[in-house]
Amino acid sequence: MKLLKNKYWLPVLLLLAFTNKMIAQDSLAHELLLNISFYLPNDKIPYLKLSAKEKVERRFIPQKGISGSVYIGEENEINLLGQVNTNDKGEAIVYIPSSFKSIWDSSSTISFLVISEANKVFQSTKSEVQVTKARVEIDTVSTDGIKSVLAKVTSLNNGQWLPAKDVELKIAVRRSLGDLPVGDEETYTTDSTGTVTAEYKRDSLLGDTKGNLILVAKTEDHETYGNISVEKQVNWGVAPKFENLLDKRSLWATSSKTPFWLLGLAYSIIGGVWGTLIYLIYLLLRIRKLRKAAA
Amino acid sequence: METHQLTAAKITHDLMPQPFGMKGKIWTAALIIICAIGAYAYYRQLRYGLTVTNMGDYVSWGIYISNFVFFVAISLVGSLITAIFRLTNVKWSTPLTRIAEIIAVSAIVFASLIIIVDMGRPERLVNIFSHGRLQSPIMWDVVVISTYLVISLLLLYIPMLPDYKFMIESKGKGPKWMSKGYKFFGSFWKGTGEQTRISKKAVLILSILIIPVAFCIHTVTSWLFATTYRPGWDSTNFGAYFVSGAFLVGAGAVVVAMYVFRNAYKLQSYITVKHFDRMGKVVVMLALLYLYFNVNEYLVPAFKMKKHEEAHLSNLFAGEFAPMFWFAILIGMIIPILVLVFPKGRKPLPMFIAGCMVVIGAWFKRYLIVTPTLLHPFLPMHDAPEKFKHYFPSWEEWAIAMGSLAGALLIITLFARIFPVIPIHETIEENHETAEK
Repeated sequence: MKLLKNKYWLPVLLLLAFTNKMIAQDSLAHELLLNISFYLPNDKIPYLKLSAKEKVERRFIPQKGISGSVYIGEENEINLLGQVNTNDKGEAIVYIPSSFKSIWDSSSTISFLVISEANKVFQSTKSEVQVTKARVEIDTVSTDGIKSVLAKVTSLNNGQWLPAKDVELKIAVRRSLGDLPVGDEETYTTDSTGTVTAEYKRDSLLGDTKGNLILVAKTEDHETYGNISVEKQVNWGVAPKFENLLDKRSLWATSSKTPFWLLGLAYSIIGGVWGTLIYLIYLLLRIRKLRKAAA
Repeated sequence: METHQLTAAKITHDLMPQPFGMKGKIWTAALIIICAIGAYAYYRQLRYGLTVTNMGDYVSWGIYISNFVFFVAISLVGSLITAIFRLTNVKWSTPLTRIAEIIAVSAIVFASLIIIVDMGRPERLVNIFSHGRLQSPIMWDVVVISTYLVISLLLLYIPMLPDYKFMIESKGKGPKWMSKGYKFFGSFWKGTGEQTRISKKAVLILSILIIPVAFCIHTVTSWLFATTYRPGWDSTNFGAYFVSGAFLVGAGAVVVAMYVFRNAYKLQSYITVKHFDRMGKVVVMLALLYLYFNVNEYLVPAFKMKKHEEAHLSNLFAGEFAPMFWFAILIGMIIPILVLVFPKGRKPLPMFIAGCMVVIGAWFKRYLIVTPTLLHPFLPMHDAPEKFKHYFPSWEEWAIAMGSLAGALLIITLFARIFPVIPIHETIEENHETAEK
């Protein structure tokens, strides 16, 4: 009986231990939320932005240091755009270099793939995005003193650029900390000609030193086209008038802007004292001259 | 004065500059050695930069600026003894005027030099003049120090003109270069009525002129501190506080010099016990005045104990700087007052000791005005390295500071070797007047 007991104890224990370890390992492998977005900024190199997050108690926590391989098209060595690591914000960027032009030009629709390897915390994760090539054009028109921004979206379809309708666009003015919509609407939707018209209602907005503003038309996280943006500089702003406090005569200004009252006071005192000293030197010279008279 | 029974020949003989004895030579050699060590330390500072000092981000004004304030303070004695006493017709001060003026000149020379020493790039000194902002108190200080130096030199030189006659007549008693120097600077003095009249007029103008300039020099120096918003400096009392302190240390320095010259050159008939007695009373009055301003300066903020002042004042009264603070108050003011308020305390030796106390106390007082405040900025000292929170001068700083003090003493010593420390002509004149009465 004792021997029998000994015979089964070991395999049972091993099985329990192994199963327990598997359960523990499985519970450790957290789910990583991986996302990839396509960006085509105005006259700049297109790029992909990778973001890694984990959902913890209804909150999305950015994940730093997640490494991922980004591919254009299918997963193979030739299509590898680059390997990236996410930053403090859980983001990483990879540009699409010109060496991939042939792949880029081969089709009107391109897919991108990102694969993150499993690590101690997260299991291996894949994410894919497919974008159709599109263009946004921007123009302005002024009728009866009313300024409007025109934007047109066209997409590549069988080698032809055709108007894209029902595309949501943001028409805004670029500011220091974000984009300000040009009118009351947050977004505008293109009509059958792929065009939107947004009335410009931001008069007296401060521009650069010449009053120039940057208008921007963009798609944001569009499911077909991604993030495309285009800019145009217009002279619709107000040139700011900088009041340089150092330009006025003050106690804190430069030496050439000394207040007149201080100049007057200081030079009067200095002039008075040094004038007296010069007079004293003159008296000394007179004493010196009197030597001849004494002789 | 006790000189009424002396003849003009004896006065001239007694007051003429004399060669150094053994003690004088040792004293001069010691000063030269200290100056040389200071010069070597300054060479190191020029070679390696201000990194050889222990100044840093917090204490950016260390022992050099303390020394500067001390020198400026001591230089004010020229206006007190020479000008104020002259204008108020205080006749007994005649033997002390030249001593006071040479102390003033040597102190103001080294005040100017020590400011240059404090500069990391002294070759840029010219920029103060070419790009100086008249709005800055530093610029006012530069202007007023230069002016005060010129006035002090004139006030030393013009009253000395009649004495050149005696010095030129004594040729052969000293080296040739001295005789040549006397001739160059004073051979035109013939003592005519017109020359005397003009010279008296010039001295009168200088005596009037030096008083406001002297007040300016130390008030402006106090404004270097008081125009900044910092604990311990943010005070409307600073101008008067500095000027009163300056008069005290200057008077203390004159007392020390009186004692040393009296004994070294055997001038007991000229710098008499009465002089010590009267100067003692002056020192007591000035010490009481300075004590009054100190009470205002420390007691009033301590009564309010504003948050930002608290750390600074606690540090002075009972903290890191408490031993030095109470030492400066006791040695620099209270003990001299207690000694000199009694007639026995106004005898030459106790006066000398009290004078030394005043001068030493004043030096430490200037250190206490500059350094503890810099260690207590308004901004919290988060993440500051530990060494920023304390300051003790490096050996180079000590050597330069001591070298500058030795330099000032060397000027006074060499002056006493070349020129009479007591005006000969004025003493003879006053002797005649006393005899006639």
